[in-house]
This record gives sequence, structure tokens and C-alpha cells, in this order.
Amino acid sequence: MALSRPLVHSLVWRRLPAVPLLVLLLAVSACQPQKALEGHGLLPEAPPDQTTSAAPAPQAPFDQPLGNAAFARTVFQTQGPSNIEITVRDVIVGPHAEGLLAAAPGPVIIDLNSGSGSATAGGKTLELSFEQPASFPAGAAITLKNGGNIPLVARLYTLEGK
Amino acid sequence: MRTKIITILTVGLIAFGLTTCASPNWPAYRYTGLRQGNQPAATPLSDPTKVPTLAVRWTFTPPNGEGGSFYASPIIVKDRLFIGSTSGYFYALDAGTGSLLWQFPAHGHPLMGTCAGGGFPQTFGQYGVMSSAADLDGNVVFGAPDPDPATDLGRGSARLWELQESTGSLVWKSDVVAHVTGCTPGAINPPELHERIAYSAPLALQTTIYVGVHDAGDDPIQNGKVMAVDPATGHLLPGFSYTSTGTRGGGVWNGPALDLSGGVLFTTGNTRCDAAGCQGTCDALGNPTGEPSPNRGLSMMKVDPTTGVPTWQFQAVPYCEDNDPDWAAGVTVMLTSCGELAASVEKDGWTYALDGKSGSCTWQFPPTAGPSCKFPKGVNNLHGDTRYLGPGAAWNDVLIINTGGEALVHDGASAGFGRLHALNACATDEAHRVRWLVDVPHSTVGAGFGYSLGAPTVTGGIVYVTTDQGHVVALADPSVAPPAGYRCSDIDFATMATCTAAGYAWVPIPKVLADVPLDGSSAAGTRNEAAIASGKLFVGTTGGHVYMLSP
Repeated sequence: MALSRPLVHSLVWRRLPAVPLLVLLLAVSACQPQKALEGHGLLPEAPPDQTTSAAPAPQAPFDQPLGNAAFARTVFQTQGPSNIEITVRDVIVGPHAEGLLAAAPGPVIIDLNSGSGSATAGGKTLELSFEQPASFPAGAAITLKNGGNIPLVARLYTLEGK
Repeated sequence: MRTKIITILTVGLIAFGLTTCASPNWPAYRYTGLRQGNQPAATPLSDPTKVPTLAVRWTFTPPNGEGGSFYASPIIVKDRLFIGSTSGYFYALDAGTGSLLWQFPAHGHPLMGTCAGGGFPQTFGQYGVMSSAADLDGNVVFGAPDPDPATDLGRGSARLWELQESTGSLVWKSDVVAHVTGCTPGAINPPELHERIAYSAPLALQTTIYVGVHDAGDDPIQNGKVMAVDPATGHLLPGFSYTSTGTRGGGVWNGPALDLSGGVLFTTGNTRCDAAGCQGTCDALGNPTGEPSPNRGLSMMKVDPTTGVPTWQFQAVPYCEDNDPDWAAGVTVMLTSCGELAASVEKDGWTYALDGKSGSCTWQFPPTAGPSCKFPKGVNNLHGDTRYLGPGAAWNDVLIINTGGEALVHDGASAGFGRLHALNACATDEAHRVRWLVDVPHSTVGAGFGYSLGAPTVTGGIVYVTTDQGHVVALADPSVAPPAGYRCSDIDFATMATCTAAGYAWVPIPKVLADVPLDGSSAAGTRNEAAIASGKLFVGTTGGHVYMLSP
């Protein structure tokens, strides 16, 4: 069935206001490859076969486990005055985890670098703070407890008389 | 008549659509003249299949043996490239061929004062054009010393210079913005002004041009300023006033940026000590005596664009812990899915993202100082002069930046040298802050003096960064091209099991798509940034060359 000219005219005129919007929609659609919704959200997790680092090996790895989620490394060891051996270690305790430091032959000073938590030895618990290092006497096994959501990072100084 | 209106409307909307659609590139220092460093879209240089063929297409060497280094970054306007040199000359090149269109001033009359001061580049008045230029309505604006003896005896007091882009003709030179009133290193009694524009790139708007003022090698530190200049005349606008302190310190070492509400954002340098000694004293608990008032040093600032009055200030490092961790990288204005963020890295390696409206800290990376992101008093030796100077590049919710990284707190400041991080700005927990991490090839990684990387540029997830060993490197966000492998977000863990147990993230290493050698000199400079236009990449080096690269 053929449409009458007035009817066609009427349909076109009625739809004309939609034309610019349609054009805009097409233009914006054409932009989609250029204005991708990238740079949002998180990347997918690593595939199961990617569990070893592809980066160069760490120069000073945290290679001394102190429990399931705590690690240490020795960064410095030297002979101090009066036959005292000084050992400096870094310790990282994962969020809401604990690390157990074996009893040291000398006093231990704990200097908090990042995070929050406490240190317990011989029934004595000290909250760790940036302002004031915590210290414990010789012979105490120390439990470091991370009470926060980010890794607890501390530097430990052990002074051992020889 | 109705048809005509609809036709006009349609054409207008097509134009609007094309404008929206057009590749915005990265033609200016910090992306556009607004200096926001936030490039959300793809361009022809975002195609990971083409980027590996990136190669040098032309090289420009200044004529007449003028030498000099490019510490300024190139800008591209209508197929012309503009860049200034430490030799004191400003060049306009044909961006397609690299041929010289004009230079300013004429050979033999460089923009160079007589005051040497400290060694280059920390000279009082002999630094030439280190200021990345701005485009303003067919003219180009930059800062440099004025050698005219009528200007503070030609010592090197600095002005803004506005030139016609087509001819290089001088439109105006501004009132003096930075004064050099003497040439004696460390001079404080009697006082001398050793102010510089040097590294500050002007923020040029239709109504006002803003530029920062800082010192030369803290010899001694100067009172940091932002000056406002009338773009029509070059005169200082008297209604605008910003100084960082009541005495000295808080230099503004980078280009101000415009935030989304029209505020002017910038960062400020150290305040406490300099070549002339320290201002006041500090007790063992970090309580100062003699701290300048106000003290807006080591801060990210937002000021009113008309008056210069601070809207907010964020200062993470207390006065007594100020061992010169200048905040020298500029601000990246991020329009993210979690709101407007003002992000930057302080020279000690910590990166901050602040709420753009209030200035409150949204996050700190690494997250050392707790929710306030402010370090406590009395904890010293963390915040020194450790060279994280480059502003970040934003790609929607991703901030790409040279920052200290997770290992900063146990390895010290060099942990992030030569390493580029991508940070998820809207991550809801710190374990997901790091998106990826890479040791940038042909840069000095984890050692050296920290000038390893220039400021990154990003388009569509492809990141371009220059290196101190003279390369330009292209990296692909893993959403754009498969990663080269995985690693721990803390560089001192080698397996996924130990990494995640310790609370860090196992993150991808972005693939290197291109690694192109240039002239062997540092392409990183202090914070050299590549420009992107029409599918081409433009880079200046400290060896004194400008390069165009394209696939």
C-alpha cells in the first residue's frame, strides 16, 4: 500500500527532531573505541602458573620466616664496643597476623616503621609507636602482633654480649 | 525554516560529537594548558600493535653551536613545537619535519643573567629557559631571566615572556616575577633575593597567568610565591597574593594546575634549613621554636584564583622533620569514579591523593602514617632530599607515577628509583592500591641519585616515560596488552605465597612495547615529559636534542 504524500510529510516532520539526537548518538558511538572505559576497576588476579616473580631477584629478600605470615631479614651485623655484637634486622608481619622472634641472647629494641601493633614478651605487652621504640631484656621470646590492615614493618636491634 | 534549524542543529551536534571524539593527545606539559595531567582517552599512540615500531623520525639540534640542555618539556600547537633551552634560547620547530621556524632571542643574545650562584642547574640567573611553555590564543608564554641591565642590573631577575607563535615576535615581557638582587651564595645578612622561575611552567588562562617562584639550590631558600600576571598586558595583578611563609621557604618548583572548581593547585618546597642555616630550633620531641608563621612549606595547596588566599593546605611532614623533602612534583587533577582527587608525590617518595574539594587525605602510598596521612612529630630521618620530582599521569582511575613504593619504609628512599608504579586511585583497601609495577629498562633502578625517570605520559593505557640513560620507553597497562609476568608489590619478596602472606599484592609487570635509544644523555632531566600529538611523540634531552618518534 502506497502512503499518501501528506502522510509521508507528516511522518518525516514528526520524526525530524529525533534526527540530531540520532546523529549525536552515532557520533558518540563512533567514539567508543577512542574513549574506552579503561583505567577503571582492578586487574584480574594472576593466573595459577604465575606464582614466581618475573622481576630480578630481590637484593635483600625477607627470607627468614617468623610464622605463617611474618618474615625477617638481617640487614647489618657488626662488632660494637665492649665486645657487643649488634645485629639489625627488618621484620614484616602481615595484617592481623603474628610473628614469633626466638629468644635473643641480648636486649632487643623494636623501632616501628609502618603499621600498628604490639610486642609481647614474658607477659609484658608494649604497644608499638613511631615516637618511642620498644625494648625487651635478653632471653625473652617476643611475639609481634599486627593489629591493623596493612603490613607491620619494624626494625629490630639486638645487642649481644660476647 | 524548520528544516534549516534542524540542519544547523544537526551539524552543530556532529561537530560536538567529533570534538568529543577527537584524539586529545598530550600536546602540552601536563597534558593540556590546565596542567591537570589527566588524559582519559585513547589516541593513535594507544595501539599496542603499532607502538613496538616506534622509531626516531627526526632530530633537532640547536643551530650555531648554542648547545644547552632541554629541561623544559616540548609543547605542540598546530603542528608547531615550542621548547626552551638552558642556553637561554626558545625554539619553534615544524613538528612534522623538525626544521627550525624561528628562535628567540636572536643568536648571541640569550635570556641569561650574570649571576652564577651555585653550579648548574642551580644558578641564580644563568639557567636560561627551563620553564615549559604554555599556549594562549596564538601566543606562547614561558619564564626566563631578563639579561637587560635595566632589570636588576641584568643579574637574572626573571619575567614571563609572551611571543607570537607564528613569528616569534615579542608580544610583551611581564613585570619582574622573580628578583635576583645579589650574587652571593648563602646571602642572608645582608639579605639578597635569589628568586627564580626556572622549573615553574606557567598556567595560562584567558584571565590570568599563574607562575611559581622558588630558589636556587636552597642558597638560601626564598619565600615561595605564586604570581599572577595579566595576559593582556604582562603586568602583575595586584589583587592576587600568595606567599608560603612569613620569612623564607616553601618554594613553588612546578607549574600550578587548575582544579575542577577553578582553584589553583600547586606544591611547595622545604622551609626549615638551607645554606644559611636553620630557621629556629627543634627539641628532641620535634617541637619547634622559630617556625615561620604561616608555614605553607612542604604542602599541597589550593588557592583562590582571584585573591591567592588558601582554600586548603595539606602538609604531611611536620616542621622539625623537614630535612628537605621538597614537594616539587606538580599536582595531578584526577576525575575518578570515586570523585575528584588531587594527587602528587613528595620528594621523600610518599604519594598522596587528596579530596579535591576539602584537601583531606584520601590515601597515602605507602600507607605509613595512618588515616590522617600525616607523620608524627619527633620521628626523624625519613624525609630528605630524595628526588621524587616527577608528577604523575592519570588515566581515569589509574595514577602512573614514580614513587617510593611499598619498600620505601624498609629499604629507604632509593627503593623506587627507576621504578614506575600504577596505583588504583579508587581501591577500597590498601592491598589493592598497586595496579602494576615495573623496573623501567635503561634507567638507574634502585640506586643512584633518583633522576632515573622523567614524568610519565599516558594515552589509552600506553605509558611513555623517558630515562636517565637516554631512552624513551613505552609500557602497556595489562588491560591493553598481556603483562610480561608478575611480581610482588613489595620488591623484597620473590614468591606469591610469601608476598601475599606479608600483606602485599601480587601484581603484573607491564609489557615493554618499545625501548628507543636517543642521544645517550638523560632524557629524564628533572622531570622531562614527552608530548603527544597527531600520532607522534616528542622528547627533549639534557644532551640538547629534540626528537620526534612515531610508529
